Amino acid sequence: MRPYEIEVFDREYNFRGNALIDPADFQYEYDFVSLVKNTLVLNPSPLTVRETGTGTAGDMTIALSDLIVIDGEGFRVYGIVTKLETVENALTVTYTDPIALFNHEVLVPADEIKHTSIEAYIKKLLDAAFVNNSDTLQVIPGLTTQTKTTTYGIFDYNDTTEVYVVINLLKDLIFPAFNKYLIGVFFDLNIDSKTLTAKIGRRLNYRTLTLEADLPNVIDTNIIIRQSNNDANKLTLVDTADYAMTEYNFYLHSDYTWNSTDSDRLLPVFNDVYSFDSDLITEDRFWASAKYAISIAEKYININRDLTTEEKGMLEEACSELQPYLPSVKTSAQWTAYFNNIQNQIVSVLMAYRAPFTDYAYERVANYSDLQEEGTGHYCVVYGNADPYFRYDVRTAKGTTSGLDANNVPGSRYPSGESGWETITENGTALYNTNTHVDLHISTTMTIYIILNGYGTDITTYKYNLNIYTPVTANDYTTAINNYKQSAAYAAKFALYKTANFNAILNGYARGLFGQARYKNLIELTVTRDDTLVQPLRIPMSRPVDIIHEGVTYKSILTGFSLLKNGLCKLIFGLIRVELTKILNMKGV
Amino acid sequence: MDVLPSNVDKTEINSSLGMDIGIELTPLTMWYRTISASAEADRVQIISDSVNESPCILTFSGLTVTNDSVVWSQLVDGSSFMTGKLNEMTVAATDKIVVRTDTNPYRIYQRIGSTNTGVYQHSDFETKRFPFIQKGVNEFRVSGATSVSVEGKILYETV
Repeated sequence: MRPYEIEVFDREYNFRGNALIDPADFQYEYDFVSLVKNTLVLNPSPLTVRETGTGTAGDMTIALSDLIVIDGEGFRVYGIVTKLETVENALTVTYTDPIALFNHEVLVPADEIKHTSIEAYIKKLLDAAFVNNSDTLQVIPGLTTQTKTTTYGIFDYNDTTEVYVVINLLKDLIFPAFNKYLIGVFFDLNIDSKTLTAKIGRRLNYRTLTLEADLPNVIDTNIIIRQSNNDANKLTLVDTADYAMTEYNFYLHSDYTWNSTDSDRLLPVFNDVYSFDSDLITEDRFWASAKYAISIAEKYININRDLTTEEKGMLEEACSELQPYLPSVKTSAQWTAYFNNIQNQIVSVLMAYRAPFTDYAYERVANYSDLQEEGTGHYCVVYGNADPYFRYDVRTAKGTTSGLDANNVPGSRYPSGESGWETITENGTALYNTNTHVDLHISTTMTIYIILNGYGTDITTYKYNLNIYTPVTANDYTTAINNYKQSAAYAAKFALYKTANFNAILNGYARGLFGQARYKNLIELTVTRDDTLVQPLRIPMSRPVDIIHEGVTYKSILTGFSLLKNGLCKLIFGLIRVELTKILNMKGV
Repeated sequence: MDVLPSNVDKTEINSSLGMDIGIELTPLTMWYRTISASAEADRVQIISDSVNESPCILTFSGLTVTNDSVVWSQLVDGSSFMTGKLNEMTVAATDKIVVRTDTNPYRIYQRIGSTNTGVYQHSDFETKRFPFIQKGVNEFRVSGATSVSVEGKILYETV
């Protein structure tokens, strides 16, 4: 078997040195919801310990806080060096998963998480602590964060009477987010681009894998059951914005489903009570949801294939807050329609909610629903600005100026440059993808296009029925927004949104409490690392797995693994409590 | 096979048979056979009949690049197996780039005249880079090279 390749990089991803390790000597343990330290021994070690200084590239040294990457056959693991010990020629390196970098305490307003999604909240705190921290030594080089899904919920510290609380990012937020809501922080390391991307979200849409624990290739099966009968089976929610203090109850039923129907209850009753504030379903949040939905949607518009299950799931998650407006999505064609629907439904809301990032906003001057066919003298206007979802670009067909009233295009903006569609420039600088504000007076006879996320060649694809706007002053903008907010159309949209989200929040709290994902119990399966049937190192963390053992199916998810010394791999699965309880009942335990 | 003598026994000198000396050898490697191939082209082929993958030395020259990338690849029986890349390299046509997996640790260096300079740090660390000869027809390609050679110890299982 080929040795595993070890490479060492400093904090800035500069290469330091490399070494080999015999696979038979390599052990590794990974647990998604706890901090694990791993060690490896290089004997003799080609790497020497760098005590001081920054060293030079390729100097075959290793130091604390360096990044160590182990490339095995078909898998790659990495960590941050936390301890180095040299005994004669042997070097023992201790390292932890990068998640350990988030073992950090911060002061936060106790109910802040109710204002935003859990993923966005994790991102915000990680960004503040490790990306934008004014103490540059605390900044993790190359770290970027991304939210992949949107989930609302609560944590225990949200119900404290304190206004501010100190929380540990790992123990009070990231690990509980996984335990309660299956929201994980998944890393993506790219040495070449010197980036460590933390992707925050739920991987709900993996297909369930089925493993038979009784097959001969499974060397060892270990099922650890922790019995518990005092978990809450009734949830009471009180809306603090409701002076009547209406209670919303959810019940866990004997088949371990849950809803608000008061029947088929579990005994004895354990009742958890939480409060929440429906006034937090704000217009800002509406705006943020719409922006988020569009940002996800942009990736998939006009793709020439059916979406994968995972992609559909991601879109549906992203758009979940806008569900009242939206149909379900199955194919790319439906998706395009779906996207158009979002666009049409919310464009007016978005336009009214353009943050004052320019001195200008747009006043609607006409409803323009008669789109002309693409042809000469037509203009393509992309609304946008520094905000990536609304890029502002002005283009015109090459060589034609008819229809463009030059007097209505302030500044020196002329067609020039590339073939096909041309970019209007300002002082030689292309306006698209810049932060420059363009106040173009639009003729009501123009064809208006919206191009999202770039400048596609098939321009007709992007046509929308839109209202036409002309620039107004900041005061006009404020007035326009206020007027819009008072309109019946806006009230109807926001009411729809608010109702839907009120229910979504209630359901989110219930889901968090009753736990699709309380993995208190464990199943461990041991197979060889290169087992071709199970392929243990190819199963992504948090993938749902049905494990069949002695005729019983255990619903579980992968939460960790260990590479054992003798070429074996132990897979560690968390087991869903309610499913397990059901199994125990079946067995008469 | 590389071996290390671990024990030597001798008998007393016998008038008719002389003296017997028994030497125990400890194997340091599997049985192997050294093979090599070279071509004055941008690619070279080498065939292995062993099911074990074998470490090797890949050497190429003839590249002229300035602050640009150097890319090599390995195909096994016509299918892509591995790609390696160095970034921001400056290489003269007479220089040799050597990628070795027969050493511990692996090495990537540039030979200018008779001087070897390590260039491992130029790696595109997202590429696999390291050549191992597989069973079948192995083809090593280096875009822009005029000479490519490969030398490997083909390892055999024995019982």
